Amino acid sequence: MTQKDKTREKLTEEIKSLKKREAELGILAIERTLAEQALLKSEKKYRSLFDNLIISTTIATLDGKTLMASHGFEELTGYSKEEFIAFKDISEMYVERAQQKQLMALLRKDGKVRDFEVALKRKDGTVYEALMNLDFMELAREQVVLTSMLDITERKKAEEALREAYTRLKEMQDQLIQAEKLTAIGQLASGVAHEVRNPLGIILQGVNYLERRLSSQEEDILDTLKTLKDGIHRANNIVNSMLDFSKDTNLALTAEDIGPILESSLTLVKTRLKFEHIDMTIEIKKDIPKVLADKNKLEQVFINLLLNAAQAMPDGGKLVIRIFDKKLEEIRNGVGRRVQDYFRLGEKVLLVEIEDTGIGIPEESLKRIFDPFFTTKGQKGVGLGLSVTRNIINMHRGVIFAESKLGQGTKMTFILKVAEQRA
Amino acid sequence: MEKKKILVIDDEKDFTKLIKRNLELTGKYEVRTENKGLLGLAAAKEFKPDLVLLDIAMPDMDGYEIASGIRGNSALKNTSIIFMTGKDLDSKSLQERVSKLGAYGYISKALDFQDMLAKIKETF
Repeated sequence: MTQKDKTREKLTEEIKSLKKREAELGILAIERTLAEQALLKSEKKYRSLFDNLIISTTIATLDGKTLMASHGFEELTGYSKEEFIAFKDISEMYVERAQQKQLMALLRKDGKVRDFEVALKRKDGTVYEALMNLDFMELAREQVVLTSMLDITERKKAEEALREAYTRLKEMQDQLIQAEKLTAIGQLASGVAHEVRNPLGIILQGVNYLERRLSSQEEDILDTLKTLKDGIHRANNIVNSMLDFSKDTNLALTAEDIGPILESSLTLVKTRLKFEHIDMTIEIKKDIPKVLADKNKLEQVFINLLLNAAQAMPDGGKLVIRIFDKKLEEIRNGVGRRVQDYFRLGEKVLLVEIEDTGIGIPEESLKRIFDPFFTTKGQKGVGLGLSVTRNIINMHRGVIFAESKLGQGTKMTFILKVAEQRA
Repeated sequence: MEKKKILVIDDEKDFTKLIKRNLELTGKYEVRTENKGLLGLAAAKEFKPDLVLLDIAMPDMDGYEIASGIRGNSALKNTSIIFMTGKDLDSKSLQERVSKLGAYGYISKALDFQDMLAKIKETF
């Protein structure tokens, strides 16, 4: 082979190699284009994913400058991305601005924040509740904060409604249980009362007989007999209260003027208890409407409440009785839109307030004063007066409630239906 | 003066015993007691009392039945009846039955003897 041939062969080889390299490079170029396309696609995909997240998402620098915000974020806050990125002080979005600092502090401390509930303001100033998660992430070798946020305003409202429904249900259940308890106690009371009266009668006849046979003038013997009789009468009074409590509850409802009912009740109360040491004021508004009431039963209500008031002031005090009509403006137990509420808001009713300056009722007892057999009077009370009172008021489709301050006095209020609506 | 005759019908033996003692102690009454309803009705027919003190709730025959038995007997047309009860005195059904049966009235079992006596005297 000549030198020329050798050179040609070498060149051919080189050309071959170059062609191969060219082909390889071509492939590389194609691959690179493909890769670039894929990257673009992927970025687009992630960007779209970021934008279409149901939760609102932002990426911000550590000093609070927003870099990116998702579509969801725009919708939730009412701010456009551009507006938001231009935001100078991000804490302005918070109802309580201090919460933003608190969030960042938590993030620095734990490296992430989970389920942080916060109240925020939209662009238009309306407030919404959000659940926030915060994380650190790295973007272009810089540490940034990824915030995801879920609007929980509706969820909160639903929770609140659920809680309210639960409370109402619980209240109704309590009332049902209470009503059932009362019925059971009523039946028991009536049976027990009857059985107890028989032996009481025997003891009383025996004591009466001994009283007349023992002509002794000895103090001790006379006192013993008197004490026995007092005991029997006390037991008999308990029996009477129990019977009152379990009495059949047919009311004779008629339109009544409340003034005369109060008067006759006061007369009866004064025969049972001294009232001289009590400074009593009666304020009855002029031209009040008649009430729908059972006169005798309402008398019993007044008697029970007046006796309680007088007994709460053994050393004297002030007793104020106020009777007036009024349109109900305030929702409270028994007044409202529920089926079991006796009164509607705006309904015209008659209110009776009996207020004393007596010893008052301790707060823990106040809830129980209408319970049967609950008494704060020790041995002097049976604990049926107020439960009978409330039964009667409820039978009138009325409500009764108590307010009291220990050492200052008690105010009992009951509301009754009026018999006629005057203009 | 002739003693007034009182018949006490109640299933509580101790009660009738002590009422009898109390009534007899006044010296004005002749008292007989019965503790069973049926026997009480028979005793009324035989004893012809001026007044029957009559318990309402008794096991064999209640006071209302005895009262209508007494009212149905012409020989007892001058006999007064007072019911005694441990039950609720204010109940409407009791008041209605008492007046329907022509009874004089009713008293609580746990009534002081002096008050009971006052009510009894009203009937004579």
